[in-house]
Amino acid sequence: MIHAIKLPEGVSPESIRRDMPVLLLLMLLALLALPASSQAGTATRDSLPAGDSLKIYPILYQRQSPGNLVESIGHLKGKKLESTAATFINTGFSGRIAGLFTSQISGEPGNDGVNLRLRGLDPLILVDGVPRSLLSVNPEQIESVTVLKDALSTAMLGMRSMNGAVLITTRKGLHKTGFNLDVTAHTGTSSPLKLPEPLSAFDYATLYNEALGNDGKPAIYTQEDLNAYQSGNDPFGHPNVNWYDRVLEDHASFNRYVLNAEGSGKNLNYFVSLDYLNQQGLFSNSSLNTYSTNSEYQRYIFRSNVGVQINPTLSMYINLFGRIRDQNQPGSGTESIFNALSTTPFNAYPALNPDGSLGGNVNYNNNIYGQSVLSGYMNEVYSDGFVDLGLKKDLSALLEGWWVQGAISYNLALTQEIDRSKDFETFEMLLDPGTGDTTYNRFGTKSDQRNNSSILARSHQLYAAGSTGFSRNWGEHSLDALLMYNIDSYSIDSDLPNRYQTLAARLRYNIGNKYLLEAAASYSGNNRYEEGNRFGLFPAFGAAWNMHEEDFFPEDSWISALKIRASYGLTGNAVAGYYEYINRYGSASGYYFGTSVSRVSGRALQVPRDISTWEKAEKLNIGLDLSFAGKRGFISADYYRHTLKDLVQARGRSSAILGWGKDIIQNLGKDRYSGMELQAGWNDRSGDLSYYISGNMTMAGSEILFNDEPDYPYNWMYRTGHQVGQLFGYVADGFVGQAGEGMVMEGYQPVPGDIKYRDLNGDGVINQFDRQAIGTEKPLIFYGLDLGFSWKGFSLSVLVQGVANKNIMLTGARQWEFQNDGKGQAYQHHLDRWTLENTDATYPRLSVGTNISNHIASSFWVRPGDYLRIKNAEIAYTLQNSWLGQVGIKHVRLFVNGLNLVTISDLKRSDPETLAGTYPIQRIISGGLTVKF
Amino acid sequence: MRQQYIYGLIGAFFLAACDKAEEFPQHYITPLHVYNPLDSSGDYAMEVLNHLYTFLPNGYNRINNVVLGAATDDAIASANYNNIEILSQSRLNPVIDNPDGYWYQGYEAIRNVNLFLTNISKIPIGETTRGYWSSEARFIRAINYFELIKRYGGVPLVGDQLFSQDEQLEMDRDSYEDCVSYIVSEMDAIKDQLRTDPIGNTDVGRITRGGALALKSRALLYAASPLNNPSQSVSKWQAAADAAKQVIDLEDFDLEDNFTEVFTERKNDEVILAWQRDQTQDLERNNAPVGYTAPNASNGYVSPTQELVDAFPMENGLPVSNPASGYDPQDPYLNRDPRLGATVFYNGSMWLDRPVETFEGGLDKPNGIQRQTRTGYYMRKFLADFSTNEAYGNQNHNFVIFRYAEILLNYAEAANEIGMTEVAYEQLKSIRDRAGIEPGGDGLYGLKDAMSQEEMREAIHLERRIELAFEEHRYWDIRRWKTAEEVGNSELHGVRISGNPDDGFTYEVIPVAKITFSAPKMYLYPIPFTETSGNPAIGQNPEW
Repeated sequence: MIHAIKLPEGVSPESIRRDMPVLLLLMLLALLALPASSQAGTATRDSLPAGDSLKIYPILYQRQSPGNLVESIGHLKGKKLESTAATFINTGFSGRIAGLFTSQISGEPGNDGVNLRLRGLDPLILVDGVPRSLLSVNPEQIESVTVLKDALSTAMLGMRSMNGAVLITTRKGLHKTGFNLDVTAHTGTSSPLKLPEPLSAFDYATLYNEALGNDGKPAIYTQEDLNAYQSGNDPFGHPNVNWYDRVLEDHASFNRYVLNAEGSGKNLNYFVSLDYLNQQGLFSNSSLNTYSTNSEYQRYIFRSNVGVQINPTLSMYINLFGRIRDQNQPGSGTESIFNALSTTPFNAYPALNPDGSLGGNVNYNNNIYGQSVLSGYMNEVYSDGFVDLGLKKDLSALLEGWWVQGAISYNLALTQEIDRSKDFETFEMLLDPGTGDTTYNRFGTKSDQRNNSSILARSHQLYAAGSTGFSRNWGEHSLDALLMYNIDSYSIDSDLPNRYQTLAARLRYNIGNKYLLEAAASYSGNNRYEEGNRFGLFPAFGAAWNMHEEDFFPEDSWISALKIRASYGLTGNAVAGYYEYINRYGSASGYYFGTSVSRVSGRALQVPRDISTWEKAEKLNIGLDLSFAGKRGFISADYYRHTLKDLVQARGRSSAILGWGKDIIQNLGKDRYSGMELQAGWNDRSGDLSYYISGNMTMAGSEILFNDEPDYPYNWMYRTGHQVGQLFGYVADGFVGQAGEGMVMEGYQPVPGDIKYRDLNGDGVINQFDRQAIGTEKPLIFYGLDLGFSWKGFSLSVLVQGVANKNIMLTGARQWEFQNDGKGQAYQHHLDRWTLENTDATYPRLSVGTNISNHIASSFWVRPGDYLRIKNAEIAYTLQNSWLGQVGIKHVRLFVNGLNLVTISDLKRSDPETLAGTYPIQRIISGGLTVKF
Repeated sequence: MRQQYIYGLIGAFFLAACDKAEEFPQHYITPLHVYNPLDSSGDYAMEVLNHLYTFLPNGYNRINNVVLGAATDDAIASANYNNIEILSQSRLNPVIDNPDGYWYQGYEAIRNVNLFLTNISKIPIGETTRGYWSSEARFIRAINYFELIKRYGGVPLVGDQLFSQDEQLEMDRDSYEDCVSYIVSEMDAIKDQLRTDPIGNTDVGRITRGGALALKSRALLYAASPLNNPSQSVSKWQAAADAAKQVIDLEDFDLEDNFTEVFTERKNDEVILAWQRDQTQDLERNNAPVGYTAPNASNGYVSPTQELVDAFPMENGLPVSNPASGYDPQDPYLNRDPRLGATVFYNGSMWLDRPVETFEGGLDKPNGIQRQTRTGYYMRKFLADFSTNEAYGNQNHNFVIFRYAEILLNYAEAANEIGMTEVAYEQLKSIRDRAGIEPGGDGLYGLKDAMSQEEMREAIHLERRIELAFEEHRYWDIRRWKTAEEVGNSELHGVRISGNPDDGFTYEVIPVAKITFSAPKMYLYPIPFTETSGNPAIGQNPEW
């Protein structure tokens, strides 16, 4: 256990906060004034140690050689991301880093990034040491990605250290001498992995009648109706419109062009990148419009990283970044069209009436075709950019190995929306059977095309850091110390800045590369907490033992390196909200007095969230690194146990009499996340052939240690003791038989074919007391396998990625039949429904509208979300010859790659990651060439 | 040169790092602003009071789009599986989300009132205004207690106490009688500090002396009723009768001539207190028949039952079951109590310039997949009169909390129980007279002559049902009369109308739904689990 450490008397957190910047300023100014010393050490640009820096991993604010790592980190070379044709670089993280779980819920251009969960939590993203989420960038910018997993690796992040972090380091041109330029043109096509499979109008109407019959109601489709749906000879009166075919294309284009230049000389290193990306969506455009109504995404990026050695002891860097992202969508919105697609039956209305007007009727008055091409368009433009500036002074003249550094970063972002949408009318055609005359019933109201522009968000971030460090060897002993103060101030719109201040330090001590000791700590605060309760101390310690360096270790062993390491520490996560500790009266619902109907405003004390402190996690990590067969093979394993406390949650057992309503929010919860991470790999070369194979597997478990739950009468009702996010529901127990017997929800009359439930408490009714944990309770497993070879100019790489022990719940309008008061869609998987003839069914008897007994969360709807994907593969050929050399071309690389190529899953009806009826995940096949000058 | 440049950079960075910003948002309105001892107009405090008014009980389509009456034998929800069925089919339990739960809402209101009362003395607004404001707030607190006790029985009385969020409560309940005494004593204490009716135009909607006495009347009537007065102590009925008489004796109120306008006129003689709403057309859109299309699209959420329709007498005041009444089951809506047409839409009612068509296949009962009436009727009460209009317009739709007719019925009921049957006759007659029922040769408006106490009780129950239909009375009335275990356990009916307007209609009464009432536990709601866990001293209601 780690307890808060008392500060010496007279030193308050506030005095440190106040005086620290001034102190550092004075110190820096004094030091910079020193003359450059001729016997100063090596150039220290980007604090890189000498040697092959690519093999030295970035850790937070510093670097470390893998052999001497004490922290638990994951590392990914930026090069690995380049075979993934996607707008977000984190799409390329899937399956490549142990401990980092990814899931993608949408394939919409510009919104198709993945969600990251690092050891169960949402990690902080840092780019070049500055907290900022910069994931929609071209992968060529990225030198490496480091995932900081344990307390030791993140302790210096203070108030934001709990969730782990993803550290993105950009290229600086340090590894290439001279002038290097490459140009890549990349073109491809994307297509949806899986679209839902709705029923044809005939099947829909047939099943609808059956469902009504099951509910004891008369059929609404006559035999003539059914015949007309089947023959399709009355497309206006009896439409059968496959809406997916009507408004979507099979595939869309993906294009990207990028130019990178980099190099380094005696006093200068640089990396410059220009990138243009254009990803089209699946909507069909219409020749009626002179503008695009497709969902599409265009991105322009400029990046320039420059480092300069001003004199032998003074270096500086300037990083510039600018980006424009332009996202277009139909006026009705991409999401609402996909929602309509998944809820509108094929027989709802004709897309167009005989007179060319949009079809619609009282039940469906929003025409999907109209939504996709006749609703105008909306455009969102995100513009952002930043400047990073840093100066580093080597002070070896004063004390060998001493340096100071100052850095500042200014980030700006602006989101603008241009609304050029419009509303349309729909018409129902009515045919007089006697005269054959048609009349039209109108629904909805038409509007002119809007022309509005608004700024949705404006934000700026100022990050400044001053640091000093010391690095020195004495014989076998080496010591490295770092002290840093940083301030991160983020403002959005009219909010006061959200400010984090952190004083952090790290100490690394190494005895003959054999015994490695490391400690890191931060004293960190967030201004959104109440004065006097803003700062916390977050210490962490670790040690590692390189056993192969010991004398007793056989020199000629098959094992080339063996290290065990462990770390332990306390981390934190600020969750204060926006000055919620202040008692304030906000506007509340008003009232109407008098005969003149004028509203008087209301005001009430805002119910405060009682969040007095930050969330905390005590993290233990134990690891083992092994390499063998002359370092051709390696195995690395980590066990972690993260115990979280003071988690923000609603009190479950608070008395209403206090008068604060249902949700009193406090720092109450305790969770534990624990698991194992394994990585192993092998690479070798024989003649022209070199190959590699590397895999990782993570087993991630969790347990709710404390959840403020009411005193339930039955044990199975408690969530405490289960995994975080465990599904709860009723236990399905087959179908109600033909005699109509069986337990169903209280207040519901069973019909043969309904889902039966288990009466857990045996009280003779099924109600809320009969809900328990459902689905698997095993820890989540995810894994990846990366393999490839190169032979002469050819190379191939394949990434396989998968998930096991994941529960998914198939509920809602995309899974159930005839939802939304009977207006909803039905799907192929409803064909195998329970009937008297088909009692061995995979789906209960059908009903119209929401069935209160069948359509509830129960184990019947839980499926394994396990899947295995060939996530990514690339074949490339590199052409290199003297002829090219004569025209100044170093080489030409031709490549073809694919994303989401093959998916294996038991779930047939949809992709295991996108269930909610959103824009489907895309398979992207692309090819291109890179010319390197 | 270069060095100076560097100093400049470093300096700029530290200046930026030490930027000056507000320590917290200075625009926040804190308790010091609201209860400012220098603020003689009390503007912010008045806004707080305005908000307290929103804690008055509200009604209309408040439970999953239907009215509370759809949990009685008066109506059902048009949609299948509406949440109201949790109540109408006795599916409550301490864990389920009670669609009429008031446990949290009630005490939130009480905390807001107490916070206001604790601070109101700080602002210099003058004694009269302070008297109005604090009395209005105390009324709101008392009526919230009443809303709590009619649902849960006796509850803890917290007085003026304020609690912090992390307090661990061990608070026992006060008895139902003590809660009623508290409400009554509060009303007696504030009645003379409140405004009196008739009230000025700008203050319409404020709680008045009449409102305080009306709450007292209702609270004492409930307390005297069989559910809460198992020994049938006559003194409780006497107190209820006196309280109702006290309102009548104010002579501040009278019955409105036009029954419909009681609900659509902002200021009238009959309404004692109403939840003041904006002018809207939501009631029309929620409740009018479904056959009207945009821009008049209507949802018909509530389907009144044949049982309710049959409860309305003929225009001569005689019940439809009486052979002398002139009732024709094949022309069932002819010559009925005019309140029937003001309470439900039936086949042939005029609305938006056409007759309502609830016959099979008619515009308002098209069958097919659309949500529509399950009984052949739609709810019309409270709606403004759009029978000859082409389109909806915004109308006054205040929700009536107390009106004079209720007081008369309270008086009739209590008087009858203490043997003053003649007094009861007078009240029923004046209500029936306003309703438009013919007095008849005997001047009894169809009421039976010389009724026994028992018969008169039945007559009063019937009159409450039809006069106060859908005003959130019957649901509680059948509980306090303890008749819910009979009328709440029954099969409800609707009408199936075949034929067409040209060839005439035939009417067939059909069963549409079953409702169940689990006695005795449904007489009180269960206390939510979170409460019995957080405050075990509260105990649970019987049988839950």
